[in-house]
Order: sequence, then C-alpha cells, then structure tokens
Amino acid sequence: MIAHMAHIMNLTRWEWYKLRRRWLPWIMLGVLLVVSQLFVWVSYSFNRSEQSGDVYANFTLPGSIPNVLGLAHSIGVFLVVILTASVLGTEYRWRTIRSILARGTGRWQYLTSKVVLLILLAGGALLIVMAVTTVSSLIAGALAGDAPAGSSASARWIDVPIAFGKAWFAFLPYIALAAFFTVLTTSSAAGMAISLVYYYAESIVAAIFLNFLTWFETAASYMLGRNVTAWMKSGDDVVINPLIRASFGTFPGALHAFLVLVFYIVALGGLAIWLFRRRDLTGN
Amino acid sequence: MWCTLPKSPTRMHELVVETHALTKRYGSVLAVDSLSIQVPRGGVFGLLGPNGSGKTTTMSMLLGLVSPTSGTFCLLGHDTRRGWQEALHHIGAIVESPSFYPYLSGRMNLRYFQGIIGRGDSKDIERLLDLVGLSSRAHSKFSTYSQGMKQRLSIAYAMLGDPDLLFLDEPTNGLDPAGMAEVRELIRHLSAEGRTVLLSSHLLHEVEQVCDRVAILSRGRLIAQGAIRDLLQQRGAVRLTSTDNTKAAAVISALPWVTAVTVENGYLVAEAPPERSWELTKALAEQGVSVKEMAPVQVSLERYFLEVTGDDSPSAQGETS
Repeated sequence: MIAHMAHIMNLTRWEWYKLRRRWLPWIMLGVLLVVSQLFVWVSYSFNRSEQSGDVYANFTLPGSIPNVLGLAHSIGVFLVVILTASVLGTEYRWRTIRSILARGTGRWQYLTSKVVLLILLAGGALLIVMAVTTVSSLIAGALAGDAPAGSSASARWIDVPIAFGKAWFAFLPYIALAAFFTVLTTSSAAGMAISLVYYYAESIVAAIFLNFLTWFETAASYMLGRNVTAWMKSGDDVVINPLIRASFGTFPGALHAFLVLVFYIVALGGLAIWLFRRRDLTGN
Repeated sequence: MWCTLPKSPTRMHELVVETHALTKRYGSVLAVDSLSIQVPRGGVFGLLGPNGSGKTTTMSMLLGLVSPTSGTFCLLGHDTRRGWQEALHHIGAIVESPSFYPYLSGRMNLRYFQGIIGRGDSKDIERLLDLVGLSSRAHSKFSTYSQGMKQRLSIAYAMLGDPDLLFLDEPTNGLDPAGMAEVRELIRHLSAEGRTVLLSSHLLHEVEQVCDRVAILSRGRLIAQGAIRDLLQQRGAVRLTSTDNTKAAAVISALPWVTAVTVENGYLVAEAPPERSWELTKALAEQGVSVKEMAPVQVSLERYFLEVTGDDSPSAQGETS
C-alpha cells in the first residue's frame, strides 16, 4: 500500500510538471481571482454610495473570505469541470496515454494521480483566492474606515477555515463527474459538455418537477446540485425567501448532503477507475 | 504457472517473449487469431505483415494496452497472470505514431517520461538526445518537430530506463529514405548492445535488412516464423542454362522436389533447395543434357512473403500492403 501511495505521489508530481506548463490552469486562476476581487471592490463601491453593515462585511475581514469562497465555488465548478475534462481528455487526444501505460504505469494509480492533482489544485486555487482577498480586504477596509454605525458583525474567523473546507469538498463531486464522463467518452470536449449539461439539466429538472410534483422532493434531495447547494449553505444563517422556498423546495440537511456527496464521489470516481482499467487503449 | 522461464535470465538462447494461442476479437472481427510466437533473447525479431494483419494489436496486448480475448503470454519471464506489469518496467516501446505533449519541448517530454518511469537522470536524457540526433532541437516544442524528428524522439523515449527489450512498431513510418536508413542503423546498434528488439513493420526490405528472425502474420494468423535465412532456404531456387533448355525443363519438372520451373532471360529457374543442385545436375546428365552454367538463387523475403501469404500482394516499393 505504501508503495502504491509513493507511486501515486510520484505520478502526481510529474502530472504537475506537465500541467504547470499549460496556459489553461493559469487562465482559470486568473478568472477566479478577477471575479473574486471584483466582488470585493464592487461591494466596496456600493458601500461608498450606500453604507450598510452587510455590504461592509462583504469586503472586510473576516466576512469577505467566506463570501468570496462561496462565489469562487460557484464559478470554480465550471472551471474544475473544464480542467478535469481537459487534463484527462487530452491524454486520449494526443495518444500519450498509450506511451504512459506501455511503460508499466498502473492504470488506477495513473488516474488517481490525476484526480489527486486536481483536488490539490482546487485547494491551492482557493488558498490563493483567500490570500489575495485578505490583502484586498485589508486595503478596502482601510480605505472604507470603520464599519457603519449600528451594523452587527456576524462573521467570525472560525468561518474562514470552515468555508474553505466546504468549498474544497464541494469541488470533489464535480471532479469525479467530469472524470467519469471524460473516461467514458475518451474526449475532453464530450466530457466537458456532458458534465456541464448534467449540471444544468439537473437544476432545470428539479425546478420544474418540484413545482408540480410534491413527491419529487424526495428524489430531488439525492440530486448532486441540490446537495452541493445544501452543503455550501449549511451553517449559514440564511433566511430563504418563502417564494424561493416554494419554487425550489426544502434543501437537505448538512449531514444528508455530506453523505450524498460522498456517495457521488465514490460512485463516479469508482466507475471512472473501473472503466479506465478495463478498457482497451487502441490507437483509434 | 504457465510461464516457466526464469525471471532473471542469463542464458543467451532463452525466450524473452512467448505467446501461446493469443487471440483478440473486436466484435465479429478477429484481429489476432491464436498466435503463438517465440522471441529469443538478443537480435532483432520482425513482426511482418500487411496493415491490418494484427501486428500492432499483438504489441498492444503484450504491453497491456489491449486485453487478450484468450491466450497467454510471457514477457521476460513474467506471465500474464502475475507480475507481468513488472516486466513492462524493463521494456521500451513505440506503439504506432509518436505520442508526446505538443506544448512541451523534446527534452521536457523525455524528462516527464523518465520521471514516471522512475529511473535515470538528466545525463541519460542528453545522451539519448545525442544518440538520436536531436540535441540541437531538444529545446523546441514537440509540435514544431518534423515527422522524422518525432520518430527519433520516440526512439529516445523507448530507450529511457535502459530497457532490455524494445518494441518498435513501424519505427520508420513517415521517414524519408535517409531517415529510414538512420533508424535501421540505430536498430542494429541497439541490437549490438545486447538488447532484444521486436520490430513490427510492413516494409519487407526493412525487415530483411535488420531482422535476424521473423514472424509473418496475415489476417491475424501466424503464417511462418523462424530465422530469415532458414525460411528463405526452404524456398530456394537454382538458375541454370544447358545444352537443351527445353529438354532440361521437362526433366527438372518431373523431379518431385522441384516445385516450379520458369524461364527468365534465357535461364531456367527451378524452385528447389540449392543444396540439392547436384541431384539436378545428375538427373540432367542421365538424360544427356549438359549443364553450361548453374548458380543458386537467393529468394527474396518479398517473394517468400508472397508465396506464404497467398493473396497479400506487395507494392512496387516492397511494402506488404
């Protein structure tokens, strides 16, 4: 087992050697940083025109970080699907997968190393977003001065690691989803497209059926997207608008969401590995 | 365990690859049909056959890229059921077209593959780049390489980790004549270093020039295998001219071990083992025909291939398809 772990870690290291020389991850990181910093600075400019405690918390520490992480996750889901599909699918397109496996590289170890790298990159990207947000929040806070009178600061520093953990974990099912569809189709484009269509279709189906069929709420409580939303919202003191509640039903609890997400990660990841191990790698 | 070969072989004449009734079926298509070949240690072994004869599928099965429908095989003493992947660590391979990362340089590509193999250092990479003549372009992106450079990088990749056994699938594909000659020279060099090379090709002259032994495949089936010299001798011919060629042709045709007699440029060509030429002379003398000139004819691999494969006709360039 230790030998397998060492092998996977070595493969992960060399996957990073390749990936860091591609433009794609850096462009994605740039997008993530731009959007997250826009959030901080747009909140700051709103605060200048109309001072509010909630808005003030969006661009000052520690409240800015959980908010930015939530936003980074929403955007990051698309980016992580694209990156996963690209990292796996290009090996088929360039046929490099045959060169790698022909030298005795274990199949499941190889796929695992790619997934491990993607997980580490997702975490790393969130950490970078957090670091940049910390700096920009300090600057924005200094420029804005004291909090508006009467605002009650609800954000705590303990929320920062919790928000980081939640956002990071919530990426994993989408990495597994994109890995599964990419291995299934042996194509970046197809893996990307199917995963994103799945993401949208699921939320559309849930929205439609929840309005007409009350029993559908049980089925919807096992859907990936709803559980990711529930997981990200867990612990938040968010008052859900009754109108929204009527349209989207009741979201599952945190434990339920966690278990369902674990199931998706294991099932999709397991299926991807199973397919990857048994499938012939022909030159076509 | 089916494979009885020692895992750390030291003897020269043992088998490094041995397949037993290896079969691969894709739906209704039988790509490889009960193939049993034996590749001894040392030298260059050719897998010869037209496109679609099952050469690449065979190599892919041996390398674990394609799973056999049935049959077994041994690689460097490891069988398919246990430890066979360990053998892959000692095998270098080119399978089909050169496959590298287009955005990395040649050197970086080799560095990556060396990293995942886990053996060797940067000096090995420079030595290999030098060996295949790519040192001056090692820093350029793979996407900018010509076909010949890509093929040479493939050979350098196959040699990473100093493998005992090399699988080279159509290594001269896409190369110009000079490039082909260079690669053939390189293959001879690798063999001279004591490595075993399993070369697949549809180029008859290429196989004839570099291989010691050959397995001929057609439509997934093994047609013949053995040392090229032995195979060609089985199909030898004798060219002669006599005082009466018409009578001589009739006398020779009547001999049961002569398979055919043809006339080429005024000479009679009798398809018969050259070592039996004295019997030809004797039979002609007994019928009062004197032989004026006689010489053995070396059957080319191309001709041999045509004979044993029947309807797989080679092109004018000596290709098997």
